[in-house]
This record gives sequence, structure tokens and C-alpha cells, in this order.
Amino acid sequence: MSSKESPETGPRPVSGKEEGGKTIRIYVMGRAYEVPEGLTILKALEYAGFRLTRGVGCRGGFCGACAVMYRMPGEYKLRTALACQTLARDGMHLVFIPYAPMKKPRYDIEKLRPDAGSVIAIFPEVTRCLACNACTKACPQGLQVMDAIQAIIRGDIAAAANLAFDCIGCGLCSIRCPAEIRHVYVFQLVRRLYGKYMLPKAKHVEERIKEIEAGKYDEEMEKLMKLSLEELKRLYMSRDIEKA
Amino acid sequence: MMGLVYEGYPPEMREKIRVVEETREERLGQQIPKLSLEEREKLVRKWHPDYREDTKRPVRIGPNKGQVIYREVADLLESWPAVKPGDVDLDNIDYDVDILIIGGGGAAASAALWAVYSGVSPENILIATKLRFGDANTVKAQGGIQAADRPNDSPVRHYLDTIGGGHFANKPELVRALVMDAPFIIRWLEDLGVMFDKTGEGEMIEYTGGGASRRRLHAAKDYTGLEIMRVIRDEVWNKGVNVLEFSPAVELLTDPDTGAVSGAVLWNMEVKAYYVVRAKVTILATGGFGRLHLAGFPTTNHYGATADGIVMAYRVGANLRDLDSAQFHPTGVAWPEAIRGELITEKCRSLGAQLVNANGERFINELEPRDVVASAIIRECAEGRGIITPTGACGVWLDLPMIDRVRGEGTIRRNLPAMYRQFIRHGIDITREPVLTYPTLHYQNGGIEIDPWTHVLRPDGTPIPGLLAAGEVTGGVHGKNRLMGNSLLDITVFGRRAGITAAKLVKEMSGKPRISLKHVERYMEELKRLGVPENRRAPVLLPDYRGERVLLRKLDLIDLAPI
Amino acid sequence: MAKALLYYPGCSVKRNSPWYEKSALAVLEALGYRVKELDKWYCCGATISLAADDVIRHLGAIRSLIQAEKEGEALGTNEMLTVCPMCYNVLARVNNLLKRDREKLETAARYLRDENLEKYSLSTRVIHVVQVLHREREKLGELVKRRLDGVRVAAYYGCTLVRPKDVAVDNPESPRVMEEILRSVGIETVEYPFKTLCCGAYHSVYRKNIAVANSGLILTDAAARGADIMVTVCPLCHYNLELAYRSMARKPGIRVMYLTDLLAYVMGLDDALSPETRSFLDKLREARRELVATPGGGNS
Ligand SMILES: Cc1cc2nc3c(=O)[nH]c(=O)nc-3n(C[C@H](O)[C@H](O)[C@H](O)COP(=O)(O)OP(=O)(O)OC[C@H]3O[C@@H](n4cnc5c(N)ncnc54)[C@H](O)[C@@H]3O)c2cc1C
Ligand code: SF4
Ligand code: SF4
Repeated sequence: MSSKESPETGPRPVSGKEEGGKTIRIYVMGRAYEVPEGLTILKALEYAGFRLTRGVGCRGGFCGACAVMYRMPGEYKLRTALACQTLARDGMHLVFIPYAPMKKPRYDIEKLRPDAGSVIAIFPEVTRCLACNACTKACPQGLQVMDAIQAIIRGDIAAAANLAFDCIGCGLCSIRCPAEIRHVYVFQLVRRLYGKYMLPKAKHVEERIKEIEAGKYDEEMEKLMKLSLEELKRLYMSRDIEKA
Repeated sequence: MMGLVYEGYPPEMREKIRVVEETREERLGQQIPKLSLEEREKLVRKWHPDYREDTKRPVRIGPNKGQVIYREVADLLESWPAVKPGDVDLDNIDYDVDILIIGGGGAAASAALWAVYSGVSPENILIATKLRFGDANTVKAQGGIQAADRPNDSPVRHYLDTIGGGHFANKPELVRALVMDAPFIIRWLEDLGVMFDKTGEGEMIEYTGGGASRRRLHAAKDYTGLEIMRVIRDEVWNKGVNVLEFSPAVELLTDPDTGAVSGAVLWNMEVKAYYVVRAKVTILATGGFGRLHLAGFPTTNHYGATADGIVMAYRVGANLRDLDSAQFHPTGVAWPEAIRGELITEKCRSLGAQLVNANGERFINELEPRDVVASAIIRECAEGRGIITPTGACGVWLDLPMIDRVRGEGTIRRNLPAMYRQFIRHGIDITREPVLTYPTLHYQNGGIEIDPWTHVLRPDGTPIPGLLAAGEVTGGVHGKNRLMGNSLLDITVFGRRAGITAAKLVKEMSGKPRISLKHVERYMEELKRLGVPENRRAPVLLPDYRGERVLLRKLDLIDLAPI
Repeated sequence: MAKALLYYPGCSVKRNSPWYEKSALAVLEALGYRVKELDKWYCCGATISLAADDVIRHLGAIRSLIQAEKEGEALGTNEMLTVCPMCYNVLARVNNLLKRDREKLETAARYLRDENLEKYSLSTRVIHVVQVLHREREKLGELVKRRLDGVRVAAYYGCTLVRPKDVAVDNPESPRVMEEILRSVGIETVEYPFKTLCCGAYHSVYRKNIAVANSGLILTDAAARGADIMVTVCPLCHYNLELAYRSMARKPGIRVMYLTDLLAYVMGLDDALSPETRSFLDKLREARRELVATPGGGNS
């Protein structure tokens, strides 16, 4: 199919030949822009003149705001990426997917049980999973998204929560899913169910809270707060340090 | 993953790596003595942005007139309002609520939940945030959250560590609240369903953090901030609290007579319309200032970290403190460009990674304090011994393969999995290749002064009625330097306290507050006297990274909202 | 070498019928099988239309068949064991469809090439646990440790084990495999006309009364013919029969359980039984023993 494709579309401005350095051409929703090589998609867009409000958040791969889809010349593959984590490439045709349309259902976590029934009652579409794996292929975090959904269907909340732990909620899987599953919120729910009901509670935290409530540290704290700067420094410098 | 695979270093950089490889055996076991206190002092004074004269200046206006602070912050404080008072119709109120929470990070979400727990109806709370709810520094925190809850630890010890780490400049009663509330906060998060790292019996797996004398960092893999944020955000949505996204506050509103804060003007960034919000209590939780790129540094911060909260609070008379210091993390990523400014954890250096300049030489003992190491790296680059990247940044090598060389094959994969993943994504294998590093602007140590129940204070110590603040926007909790893991704690402890205080204030208040922009008018008089150029306006809301060529040709013919 | 089976559990068993899985696996183990759960398996798609034959609806099943083929090599078997008749039905039918229709197979292969899963040589054989038990029935007889003399059992087949014909484990009109298994361990069986009447299937979700009506009829009739126990091998049938029992005003004197529960009991595999099932069977056995032990009665 590559041979049939026209090499490039859109006129090249004659004014762009400045400042040396190699430039590449990217197509933002079909419109060509000349940008320096070596920038991320996000920075390339900004260089090109876009001042973004949508489609940008933490700029470090944690928030999932900058999801994009793109195709490379000569390929049929519809690729996905985070714009802040991916280099712009020559000939890339791209579109921002800053939002996956879905409303978060409300629930009372206190009233749910950590089982598949609770999840499916809120997200009935989960059982529609066809095991097509389009979600996994779309995930810029490289998560086994399909396996996580399948784990829910069979009632393994713990497996699902752990498989979906690194999810940054970009929504690309949900955009690609033929079963129209709202992965982002499904995963949020299973992680909370697991964290709240299946992970054992920390007893030492509970004990420390009791001590604090009983006023065990109040006197020592008062004393410390009244120390002179010199005494405080001395105390600080002489404290013992636990090995890592 | 259906993204393209990166190729790693370009040939010209690969060429420069050779010297690191060639000198590795030589450097093995080589001792670099630690500097004397005087030498340290000299190095830091010459190169660290906190000590350099040219990075700061006295602010010439407002409650802290004369105080020396970072230039970029001073410029913002000496700016005209983003919205002219006359352009806003205050007679038409768009949202009339009990509590307005400005910001969409961990401090904001905690405040909203605790206000609800304390009896305020969710419909009477409005969260207004700049980007999406959760687009914030909070989601970027990886390391963990501190709380002294192990038997060999205590809140008192946590107090001492925090005060010492802050160069004894912290506000003691804030530190006390921080450390005493900490275990309670951990239990709260646990109950909400945060997946903390635990042993099979439920004991928290706790890690060490720089400056802490006990292991007390609670983590959720290396996504601690993300995990906390998404859980509390989910709960805020569940409770039905109103959230307005892409609608930053651009100015606070005040009672024309008493100066009490009574709401804010919001600006919808998408359709560029303003909204007037009247509120009985307003909580500022707008986070830090990394995107101001103090002294030209890259940053670890999110896109919206532009100090808006400080600017707005200053105009209503808030006292600002410790804004002469900022936290620069010595090892930010200098290459690949994609993750420039992001963190390279300190753990690399404790495991034996060496810093190496362009000549293949070590230039500092890697385990010196953060500010000392950062200064040395800055010096190497300034004096021409750094490595220039294809995008024009400068850095020095962090020889990570040294770790495996010294401690045995597999150490990196075992101890630094997140780091390994971060770089292999870009085709760089840190078990075989060094990485390029340069200091990065990390954290706003200072900010708005508050009391332990988050009331915003004036320079004379009296509270500004109606205004609370929590999180990175505030100062005093961390003094001149924050310890790792104390900030996630800060935002939940003081976010919670802000929610509780707000609920109490709402209950005490009868009738609706009055709103005006009178304080802004007064501030503008001062600006005029000072002769500040009219085009300098704040808050800035977002940094501008557009290419120069485009800006030169920019014409605003019609006003289009970008999609 | 131990005989091996690749185990495909299915969602409904994993979610709702842990004791069924336990007793089935215990019985197979006692028969000398090494049963290995597949490293990866996917919902067979039972809840999605079975009638449509577009490839995408069968991907879950296809993936599991491929996985079984892959893992089977190491294990030296091509038999993929199912315990849920619905999974059995879907997986076997999809497998047959791929065998019949090479074009479908190729379409699926083209799609799965991205994931290096395109090579499926159709070697996987889907098998249901009753088929294994039936072919091992002689050995089952040898493993009996407890007799249940005087206890009468009705076998209930439902639909998916015996329809459609190309995947039926037995004669669709009058199946006998379960009865033969039961008799091989010395249990008396009861004949009744409704053993393949539909239990109501998924109607239990939205139109409860259909499920209750059908299942109720099945139970009452078998009970009237003297059955103490009704055995099934299907989690859904089990659910519906129990649902019907619970909602009936006049309870028939019959208890529903899995075939493998009963087998595990007579084979003495007590750990594989839920405490309720076990105590029920203990009591029943006692009661019947007293009966048969009266003068002129049984011989045990
Ligand atoms: C890379 C990185 C790693 C870190 N690691 C750790 C760690 O391991 N442990 C630790 O304890 N801390 C860590 N920190 C620090 C910690 O994450 C932050 O200090 C803390 O999360 C700040 O929370 P916050 O709610 O105050 O501000 P933020 O989370 O930044 O939230 C501020 C919010 O306010 C919004 N906002 C800004 N201006 C306006 C306006 N004008 N109107 C409306 N909304 C506005 C922003 O968009 C944002 O949503 C790290 C920080 C970074 C950047
Ligand atoms: S699982 Fe889905 S929403 Fe989460 S990171 Fe992957 S593609 Fe994005
Ligand atoms: S994309 Fe949807 S249907 Fe396909 S495997 Fe993923 S969750 Fe299932």
C-alpha cells in the first residue's frame, strides 16, 4: 500500500528555511507543520504555534491528558501514544484524543463488596468483552488491559487491580474498545475495592493513632517546641539514623 | 504498546559517551574527598540559584515590600491584574456557594472531602481548577508519603527530622500538626482504598527518604501521588461535589469594607468567559511555581504550576514567606528531550552512580548535600565541561552502569525498576549506558503563611477572614527545604484541616457575604505609582512554549477558542 | 506418566461455583490425572450471542484454544478440559467452526498476527468433565470407599451438553452417560422425562418466573419418582434449580448437587466437599443404612 501513497501533501513554505538544524514535517489533523527534529509530539505542537489547554497536563507521563493517535507513512497501523513521551517523526499524521467521552458513575464504596457482581452491576458492559485485545494494543503504559477486564469477569478482583495499577487513565483503551467498556472507571473501582477490602489493614498505624489520641507524645512535643535554636540543632545533629 | 520504538542516543551523543566508558575502570574505587564547610559555602554561594545575587531582588510593592525573593516571583507580584475590575459585572453572580476551593490537586480534593464529612452539603461546594481535576503536581509524586507509625519511630522524631531538614526555619506549630496528624491520614487513605505497599500481614513496607532518621515513606509502587490523587478524586466525584474544570481563578473577591475574602472571578479558558463566584469561605490550593522556570531552570512540575495562588493572595494582603528559597533537585533528566527536567531519583547516587563531566572526570563527591551537588553540576556546565544535547540543553553524565559494575550484575534492574523503565522507553538501557543530567526546579518551599487550621495570615499575624490555604501554595511547613515524602503529607493534613475549618466557618456565618474588587483597585494604585508596564499581567495561568517564528507572525484577527 | 488435562475453568465456575471446581478436580486427580489450569484463558463469550458467527465474537474462545495448543505441547496433551457445559459448548462449537471454515480461521489469524498468535493448527480437543468420567468409569468403581445404598439419584443434563448434535456428549434425546457413571460407583438412578428440559438458562436474570417454572417442574417430577438427589454438571442449571427450590411453597424432598460432589463423597475425598454437602450426605447415608439394615434388607 505504501507505493500508492502520495509522498507528501501540503505546500512547503519558502520562508521556513532558517536557522539550520534538521526539520521534519508532521500533520496535525491533516495540516502540515514544519518542526525541528528531536522534539516530543507535545513540544513539536507548541513549537508549531499551538498554545494548548486541552491535551496537556503533567508533561511527564503520569496524568494521561495528552493521548494521541497517529499513523506513519506506508503503514496501516493506527498507533497510540502519550504526546509528552513520544518523539515527533517525519510524516506522522496525528490527532489529539484529549478526552474519552464517559461519565463516572457514582457509588458508595462503603456499600460495595469486592466481587465481580459489584463491578458488573455498575459497569454491565464489562461482560461484553470480546477478547479482541484492542485495548491492550492501545495502552501507552503497556498494560495487559484485556487480561485485567477478563480477570474481573471471572471474579478475580485482586488480579484485575494489580494488572491495572499503572493505569494513568488516558482513555485510549476505552476509545478503541468494541464492547464500549469504560476501563478508566472500571479500573478505578476495582483498585479501590482491592485496596479497601482485600489488602489487610496496617495494625501498627492503628496503634500509633491510639497513642497519639491518648496524648502519649504531647509532653515531649511541648518540650521540643520550647527548646532554643542551639539546643534543637544539637539534638538534631546527634539523632541516630536507621540504616536503609 | 502501539507506539514507535525509540533508537536511544543519536550518534553524536554516542560518540561523547565513549569517554565515560573509557574512564570507568580508572574511576572505579576512586575517592573524591568531601568538601570542607568553607569550600561548600563557596561553591554554593557562587553557583546555587538560591544564593546567587542575580536570581533575586526585593519586591517593591504590597504587604512584604522590601522582602528579597526570586525575580520571577517578584515580577508576578508586581503585575497588573489579568482582568480589569471594570470588565467584570459583579451584580450578576454565576455561582453562589458556601465553599469555593481553588485548585484541583491533592490539597483541594482533601479539603472538599473533609468539608463534606464535616456537614457541608456537596452541592454547596465548588472546586474550580485550571486544567482537568487531578492535573497537578500531586499525580507526579513517586517516592512516597511520610508518617511515623513504626514502633521504633515517633511523631517527635518526625518533627525533629522535618525542622532540621528545613534549616530550622519551619513554623513549629505547623510541623507539629503535620507529624501528629500523619498516622491518621494514612489510615484515612487506607480506608478509602489506596493500595499501599504492604506485607501479607498488612504491615506497611516503608522506605528511607533523604533527611529522615527512620524508614517512614509509605508508597504505592512508584505511583504514590497518582494513586492517592485518583482515589480521593473518585471519592469527591462520588460525593457529588461540583467541579469546574478549565476554569482557573484569576482574582479573589473581597468585602469592600472589611477586606474579608468572599469568592473569586473564574475564567473559562476554553470559551474565554468569566464567572463570578460568591462564597462564604474560599480555600486556595493552587500548588507551586515550577513552570515559572526560576533562573531559567527546567522543572519537574506539571503544566499549570505558575504561582497563581500566591499572586491572588498577595493582592488581598497575605503574608508570603521563604520565597527566597526553592528546591532544585540535582539530578533532573537533561536527555532525552522527551523527559527533560523529570526526576532521576537520589537512590542512583547512593547505590554508587558517579557524576562525570565531558572530559571523563569526576568533579564532586556524589553524596554531598543536594544543594552542593546541584551547584557543582551547574559549575561544570557553565565552565564548558558539560555535554550539549541536540536540543541545546547542557548536562553532565551520571554513570549508572557503574552501579552494576560495583554491586554486581542485576542491581539496577532489581533496585531501580522505574528508572530502568523510564529510560528504556526511549531506547536508553541504563544498565549499559550513562544518562545525562542537570538540576531541575522541583518544589516551592515557601508561600502563603497560614496557622495550623489553615487561616491565611497577614504580616501582622492576624487572619484574613474568609480565606484559607493548603498545600504547596503555603509556606512554613517545610522551612527552607522540604523533605521527600513530607509534601504528600502536607497536602492531606492541611487539606483536611482546611475542609474542617471551612465547614466550621460556614456554620458560624449568617447571611451572604458582600463582594467587590476594591482590593485590586487599591493594588493598581500602587502599581501605577511604581510605573509597572501595562503589559505585565498576572496570574499567568500557563507557560508559553510557542515557537518564536509563530509569535512573530501572530495576528489576533478574530477570537477563536482552540479545541 | 500421569495423564494430563489442560484445564479451562470458565468465569462462572470461578466466580460462583468454587466447590464444584474443587470436587471435579479432586475426582480427576484421584483418577490419576494431572490437571493444569491454563496460564491464560478468556471468557468463552457465552453471554454474547452464540448464533452470530462473526469472528470477533469468538475471539475469546479462539484465544483459549490457541493457548491450550501452546501449553499442550509441554504437557503432552491436546485435551482442554471444561467443567461448565456452556463453556464446553461454545469452545467446542467454535473449534468445529474453525475446522469447517478455513476462511474464518485465516481471518482470525490475520487479526492475531500482531500478537504472534496466528498459528493455530486446530489440534486442541475440547472435552467436558463428564466425558472424562465416563471413559474412566471402571476405574471410578474401583475407587469407591463409601457406598450409598438405598440412595436414589436423578441426573439432570440440561441443554448445552447435548445440543447441538455436533458437540453433544451423548444422544441428545435420551442421554445416559451420567447414569452410567453413577451406576459404576454403585448408585441407583431414577428415570424421569425432563432430564433435558431447559432449566430456564439466563431467564433467571430478567424473567425469573420462566426459570422457576421449568426448574420447579424438573425437581418435582424427579422427586415424585423417588429421587433423593438431583445431580448436574452445570453451574447455571444448579443456580436455577436451587432458585426454584427456594421459591417453591411446597418443597419437594430432593437435594441438588454436582455430580462430582457425589463422586467425591463416595470416593472419600472429603476435603473437596463443602461442609453442608458433606453433612447432608452423611445424614442421608445414615438414614438409608438404617433402612436397608432392617431384617431382610441390604448386606453392607
Ligand atoms: C516530579 C515530582 C515528584 C514528587 N515526589 C514527591 C514525593 O515522592 N513525595 C512527596 O511527598 N511529594 C512529592 N512531590 C511534591 C508533591 O507532589 C506536591 O508538592 C504536592 O502534590 C502539591 O499538592 P497541591 O495540592 O498543593 O498542589 P498540586 O497538586 O500541584 O495541585 C494544584 C492544583 O491547582 C490548580 N491551579 C493552579 N492555579 C490555579 C488557578 N489559578 N485556579 C484554579 N486552579 C489552579 C492546578 O491546575 C492543580 O490542579 C513531588 C513533586 C513532583 C513535581
Ligand atoms: S489501561 Fe487504558 S486508560 Fe489506562 S493507561 Fe492503558 S490505555 Fe490508558
Ligand atoms: S478492547 Fe474491549 S472488547 Fe476488546 S479485549 Fe479490550 S476490553 Fe475486551
